Amino acid sequence: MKTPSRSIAIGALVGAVLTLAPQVSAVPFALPTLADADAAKYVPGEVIVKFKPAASMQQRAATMAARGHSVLANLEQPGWAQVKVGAGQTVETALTAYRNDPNVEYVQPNYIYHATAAPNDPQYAQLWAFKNTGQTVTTGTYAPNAGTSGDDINIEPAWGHIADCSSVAVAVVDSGVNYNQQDLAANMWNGGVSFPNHGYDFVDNDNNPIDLHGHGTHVAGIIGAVGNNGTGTTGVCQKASIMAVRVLDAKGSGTTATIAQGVNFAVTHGAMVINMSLVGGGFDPIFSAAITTAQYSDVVVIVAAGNENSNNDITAAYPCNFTQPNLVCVAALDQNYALASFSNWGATSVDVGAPGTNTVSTWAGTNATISDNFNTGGVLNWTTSGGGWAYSPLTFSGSPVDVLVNPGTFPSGLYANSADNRVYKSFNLSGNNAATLRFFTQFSIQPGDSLNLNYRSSGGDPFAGGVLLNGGSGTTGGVIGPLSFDLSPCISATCSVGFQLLTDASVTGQGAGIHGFSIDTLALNPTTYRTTSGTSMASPEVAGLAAMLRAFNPQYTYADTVNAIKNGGRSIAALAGNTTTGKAIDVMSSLAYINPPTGLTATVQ
Amino acid sequence: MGFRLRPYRLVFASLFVVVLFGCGGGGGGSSPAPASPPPVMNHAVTLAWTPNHETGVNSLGGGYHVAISGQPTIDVPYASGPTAPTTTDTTLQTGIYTVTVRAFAALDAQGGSAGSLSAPSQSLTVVVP
Repeated sequence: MKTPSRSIAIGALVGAVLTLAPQVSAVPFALPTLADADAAKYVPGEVIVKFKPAASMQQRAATMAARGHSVLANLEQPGWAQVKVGAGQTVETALTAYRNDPNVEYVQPNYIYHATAAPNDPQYAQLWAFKNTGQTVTTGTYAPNAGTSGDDINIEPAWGHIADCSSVAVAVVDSGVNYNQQDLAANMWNGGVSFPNHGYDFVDNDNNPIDLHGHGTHVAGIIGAVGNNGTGTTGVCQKASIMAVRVLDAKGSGTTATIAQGVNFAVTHGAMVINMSLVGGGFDPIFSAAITTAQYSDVVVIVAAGNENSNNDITAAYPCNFTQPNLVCVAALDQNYALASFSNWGATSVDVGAPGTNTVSTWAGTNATISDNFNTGGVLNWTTSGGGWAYSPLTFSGSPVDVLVNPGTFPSGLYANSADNRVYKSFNLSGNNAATLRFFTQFSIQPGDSLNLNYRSSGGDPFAGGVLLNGGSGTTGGVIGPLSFDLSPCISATCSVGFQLLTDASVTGQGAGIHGFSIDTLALNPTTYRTTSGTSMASPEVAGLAAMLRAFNPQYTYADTVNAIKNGGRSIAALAGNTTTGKAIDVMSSLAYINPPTGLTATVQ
Repeated sequence: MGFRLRPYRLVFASLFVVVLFGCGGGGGGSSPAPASPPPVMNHAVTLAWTPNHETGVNSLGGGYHVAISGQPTIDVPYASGPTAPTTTDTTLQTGIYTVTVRAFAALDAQGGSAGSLSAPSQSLTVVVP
């Protein structure tokens, strides 16, 4: 479906669209490419002249006749004329001549406008961030899931001017990217022979940053899923160069070391924009130094505000609260441009807002969950060795919960001394690329004793030739979790997972209770999309805008880019007093923004 | 709390004054101080600024407007080459002038060609002797 743009309506007023109709009808559904736009920004041999009101009709005619020009059309506005320049003359020479003519108030080329057609990606109608028609997102789970028409980032008119950001590498510093995804493969960064998989993996320290979580692939698609390819969704940039930098593992967790390495890699290898949809705890000088390195290398860094529904001015969240001028921190807006219920904010720490709820984008593959409640008909159905373990239906907060316990009387009673109690079960994880074990637990294990978690990919007793995931003594002081463990090395048809209570001959303790046991799996494929909400989804909208601004204005510095993002936005009530700008991003306004000139000097002779 | 540094910096920056004596026509050597107000004289003044980085400023339909207090605005449009001109020459009589520059481009915030204008540059005070 073609959508007439505001640019056409305005262009029609000054008669600038004479070539529009045939261009549009000749290429239905197609957006102009950058090459198209370069090839014909204005009509050869024509200019638009506005004469001064004082210039008589005779003077106007004489002005044109003297140059061998003729009027093609009067533009339904007093004083304006569409002028055909003489044979052999260029638009540039005509502009210069008319600028110096005392009868002329203004002259400009006869610019060509392109229809800002909505891209033909089948899920485009779901992308309320780009075109909010008040639609309900079919797969959305965040409420409210019905929007206000026009509450969007105003990107369609911008696509008429630039949709190809591939000259600007954007690093997605995240859980990796499924670079084989059908809507991303063509828009991945070219890393040459050193980085054939489009980036680097600082979790495993290899050059394969494949996404084993899904988050990074979602972020990448918001920035730069291939647009107008008749497939899936589109990103802010319809053509892009996405550098995959994996710093978060299959569980979605990372460390200072990996994240700082990731930022430095992106800077060193030519990224001009970095997106980090991640949030951590306190001020981290190594992380901060990496942001500063990016600043000195003229790299823009866009980050998420966080999903704790809290004020970052009071409870600092990093990287959002870093103060380097190349960093923009983004809050999430809902479909009615209210602050999303989960979004953090901060009058001095969060800069702008962008759509972040019910966001449809690319995903790494198919997720599945294997849950286990430890029993069949009230009887423990895991294999045991050495006794101790039992199934117990307990009540937590008034709700019945299936719990694996040791001792059987947990939470009263004591576990046995000098015991080696094992319990395990085999799971079929074949066909997956990642697996994450999660459970809740409460335990009190005395020093000298230990509660161990093991796996064994070949099945059987995981405490006989298996691998220790975690273990030790201690007291939780209540239920904790979900605890998450990467079970990916155990992917097989016979992955056995087990718990062991190993005790010495001294003091005993309360023991352990385990519930909410599940294994979340991911099977990579190139065709999955997912709908999710978060400031993680808002940040890449802004990163895409940063890339678009730098592609449109190749001379833009990080400061120019940040100024255009912040000053080009649209003031909205929900962000007033909650952000440094009070604005939601507006792509077209930022694209039209002009920085004030600097460096003005005068020399008096 | 006494005076703070920041207001000083701002005041200083906004009152950046250019004063150049010894204009053309004055001749060399020392001369006695005039007993009456100095005569009004015309001086050539060259204004210059840093090129903007917007593609639209540095292409057809773009350029700069130079505003000098009490004078007609000077239009400095893009003509050719990689950037729009970033200097303009004018003649000013003896006096004190405030100068600002704005950049413009054809593209407007609705995606059309109604044009966009930047905020003014930091103002420059020019003293013409």
